Amino acid sequence: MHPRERPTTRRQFLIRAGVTVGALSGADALLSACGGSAKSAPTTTAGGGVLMGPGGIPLARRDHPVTLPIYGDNGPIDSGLNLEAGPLKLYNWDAYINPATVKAFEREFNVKVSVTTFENEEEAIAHLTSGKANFDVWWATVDYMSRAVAGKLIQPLNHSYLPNLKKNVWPALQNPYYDQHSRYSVPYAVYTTGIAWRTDKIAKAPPEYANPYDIFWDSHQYAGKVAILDDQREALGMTLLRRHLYDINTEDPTLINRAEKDLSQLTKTANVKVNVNDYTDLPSGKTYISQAWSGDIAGAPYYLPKGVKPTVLGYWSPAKHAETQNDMITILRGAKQPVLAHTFLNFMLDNKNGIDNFSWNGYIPPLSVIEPDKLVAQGYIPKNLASTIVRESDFNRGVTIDALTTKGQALWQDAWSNFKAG
Amino acid sequence: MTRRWFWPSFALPGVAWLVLLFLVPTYAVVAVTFGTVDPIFSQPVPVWNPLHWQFAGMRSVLAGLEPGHAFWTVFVRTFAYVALSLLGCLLIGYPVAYYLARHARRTKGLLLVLLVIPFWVSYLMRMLAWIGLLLPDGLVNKTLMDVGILSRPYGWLDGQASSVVLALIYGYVPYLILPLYATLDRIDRSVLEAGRDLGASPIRTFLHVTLPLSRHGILAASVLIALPMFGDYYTNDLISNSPRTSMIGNQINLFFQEGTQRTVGASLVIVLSVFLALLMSYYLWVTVRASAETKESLL
Repeated sequence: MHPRERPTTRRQFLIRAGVTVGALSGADALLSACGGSAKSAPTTTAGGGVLMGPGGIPLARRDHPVTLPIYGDNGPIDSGLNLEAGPLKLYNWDAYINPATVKAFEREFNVKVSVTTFENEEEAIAHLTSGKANFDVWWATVDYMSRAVAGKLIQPLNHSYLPNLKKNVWPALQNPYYDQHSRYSVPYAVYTTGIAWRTDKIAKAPPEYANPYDIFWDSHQYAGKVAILDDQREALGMTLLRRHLYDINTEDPTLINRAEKDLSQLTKTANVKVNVNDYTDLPSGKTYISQAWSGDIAGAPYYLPKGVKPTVLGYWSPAKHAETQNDMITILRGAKQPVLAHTFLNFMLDNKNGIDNFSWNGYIPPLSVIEPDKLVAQGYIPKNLASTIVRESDFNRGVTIDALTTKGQALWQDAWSNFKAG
Repeated sequence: MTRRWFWPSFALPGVAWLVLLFLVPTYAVVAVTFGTVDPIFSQPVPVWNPLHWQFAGMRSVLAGLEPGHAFWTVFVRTFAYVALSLLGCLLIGYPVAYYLARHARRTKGLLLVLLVIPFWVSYLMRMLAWIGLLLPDGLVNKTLMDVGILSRPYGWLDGQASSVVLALIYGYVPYLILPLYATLDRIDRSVLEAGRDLGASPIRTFLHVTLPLSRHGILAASVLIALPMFGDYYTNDLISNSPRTSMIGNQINLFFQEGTQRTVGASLVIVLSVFLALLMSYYLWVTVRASAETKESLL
């Protein structure tokens, strides 16, 4: 399950793990992971230039950072304004924020906060563009950033209200490639995409393969017990990574067709399942091998049947060129409480509040204060699933699913449709 | 004049309902099918004026419907699943409806209540219950292993076409039994007695009297469950998740959920609707013809 569709029960897993927020919140001196600029393989472009997205905004790539434009009729709010009286209206993925963190904000600023949820980004966009939504804060993904700016859906941020961005956030995400100078967004949570498996069900684990991705194409003996994510970019992208093609945002029809054929081979080999149930199907034994999101597998032990130990679960993602994503928080253009919204963003980037939120939803905020080894030592993450922890260095070495042109989207969707037709 | 319009006016609420909740939405789907998408957010933009319609989405669907192509594959598969499920529903549902109409006496009320009970539970919940039954350590596998039919758990949820068909039967059979029961219950018993009086065996009476007289009920009940089955996508999503069992509803869902090709999804809806309209036309034709035959026989 993607962080976009998180179960509320994950917090119970973390609570069961016996971890208290206080245990980490005082860890101000924890290590700060390495910084440095993001690197990736070059972006495929039709004519060697930069791909253009909707509204004439270049499509951001790690090797083509984009400074999103600020339009004359959609500028940031002034500095030094007083807080509004509220209520603050949040528009977020289902169960993606700790209710206790929201309560803490209400108490600290003496305002009411309401949270409305959506199931996927398409649903959110449809609602936000209908003209009937009146939210202040919206959780966005990288591939929607340029569209949200071009459509003037979100407003530029005034950094004078966001001191925690510079103070607490990973250097790599203080000035991200998809939104240079963090003009419109602040980061919220990070995760990788990899392979999860049942150690008690399969003979050869992914790390034992010369190319771990090959396990999917070598899984005929586990037919019906193999799953990939129901996400065209993730699934087709994995076939590219398997072939050491690290531009997972390619719009080259030849590469996309080959990715489709590779994926279709999985239907023949293993009658592969396509869903986002990695966090429940592996624990229940419905699948033995699954493409998975790191945060889902970090929470998967909660779903294990009684008496089954978390050691039956394994997770691998490549040390380099792993699919590494992050979600972000933005302020909507029509926000009625823009100062309060800025204050909320800054509140979420506070170390204690970020960890408090992580203790409930299990997805790691990109805060320098978080020391991965301590997450294991203090029981947040089982030792055998330490590979689900995302470090800043992982993010820097990873590849990201970025926005495509309209033509590119159609190419990927056609390939996905053909694959899913069986 | 007032009297002339009095009785027809009773149809007005129904007509208004039909126009508002069927014709307008249907035209909206057509307008989306031949419309465009918003260039920034890829949301569908319906084009209401037929003079401005665009046909790229429909052309793409029609090309995909050629044998060997993706949409052809899922259409054929969907047709096969629906046909098999329909057959299964009839094999299970007809005897139940027949028993209820002909032989259940004091228990009839109770049995009817039991048949209606599944309607109290949403289809989704019933499918989730079905998943629980079919798990590797679920009741179905345990029972089959206990009686010695299986030596180890069978992977019902491993992307099996048989599981999808069984789930469709399970989900839709209650909807078939009730209309079928209504038809069988209405058959005049004196007609059956006449068949027996003329020397026909119970089986011959059933084959030559009951079955032909229930033909329209069978057709009506079949239409009632076949129409939603053709558009079903969540049964496959819940039970299988395998591309091998993907139905046309899954493809429609795929194009509506995301991406820039909403018009392709809408075109698939239109193509499926036309196909179902043809099936409905056949049903109406048979019904009208039967009605005409009945009138003739009475004259």
